[in-house]
Amino acid sequence: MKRRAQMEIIGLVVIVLIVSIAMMFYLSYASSDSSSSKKSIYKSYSHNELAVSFLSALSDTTVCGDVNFEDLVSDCGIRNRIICPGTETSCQQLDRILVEIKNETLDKWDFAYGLVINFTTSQETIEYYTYNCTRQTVGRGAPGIFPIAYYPTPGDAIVELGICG
Amino acid sequence: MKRGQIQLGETIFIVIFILLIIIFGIVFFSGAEKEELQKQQVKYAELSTVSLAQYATSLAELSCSKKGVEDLSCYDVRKLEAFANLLNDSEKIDITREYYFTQLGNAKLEVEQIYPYPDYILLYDNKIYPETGEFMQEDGKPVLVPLTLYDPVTRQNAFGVMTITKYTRSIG
Repeated sequence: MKRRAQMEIIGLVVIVLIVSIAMMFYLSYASSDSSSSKKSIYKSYSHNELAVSFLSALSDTTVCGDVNFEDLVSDCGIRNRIICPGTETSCQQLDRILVEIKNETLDKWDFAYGLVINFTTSQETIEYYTYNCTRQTVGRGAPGIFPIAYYPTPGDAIVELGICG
Repeated sequence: MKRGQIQLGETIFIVIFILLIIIFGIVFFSGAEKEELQKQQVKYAELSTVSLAQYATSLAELSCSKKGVEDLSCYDVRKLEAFANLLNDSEKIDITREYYFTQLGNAKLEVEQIYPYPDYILLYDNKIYPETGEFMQEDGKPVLVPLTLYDPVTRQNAFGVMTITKYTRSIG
């Protein structure tokens, strides 16, 4: 009789221990899960803001005289002429400026990003990817998309910046 | 040993065991609660930086205006310089400084021109905690906002970045 009672107590103790351990695991999982979602609020804001503002500022940047980055992209997509003083064609100049700006910003900040210019009329692209950002993953991060119409010539170019992390 | 003593011993054992579980539970929950509070603190600090960033990037007094139309994604370089001079000109414009302190709080706003040539303007920097006069620390990662910098004299747009850093007090 006494032995049976002792066994029951041990059984009870085991059950209580299992429930306590399960509770501990649940609570630690729940707290770590909520903290990761909180982190993403700040991250998603700063990355979205960065991607959109980057392209907006880039497109307005004056390259020479009255020519801005947007005009350079259009000319590169249509005729690839020399539109600024010097010997560089618009595509060469576009690439040089893009590298210069990204080196001083995105690369300096050590972001994983994909910066792509797709010319719909010529199948050509200018693209830069870092870390885990690739053509397949770039759209999943914070994306900034800036279409540039060749107007009045038909066609357009899509400038895209995706921050992957 | 009598049967009554054995039963009393069992009861005491169970009571001690239950008490141990309760103490363990309290210690664990207080630890979890403390951790949760720290996470909340970090979260509010981040949200505060985000709201500061939203305010700083929509300052109408600094934005470009062409033909009377304001462009909030573009900042006028001449206005930025005037604003920086106004806030960094120590004593004589206390009311203006006070106004921007209530809006921006303990923070640092910097504008760096990247292209066509590098340049830098420190717009606002206030790291002194008003109640104690102590210097505060930079809080985590700053918010980086690329923007167009328009020079109305040359009528050229430059590529720049505004860096918004929030200061916090170090606790403990």
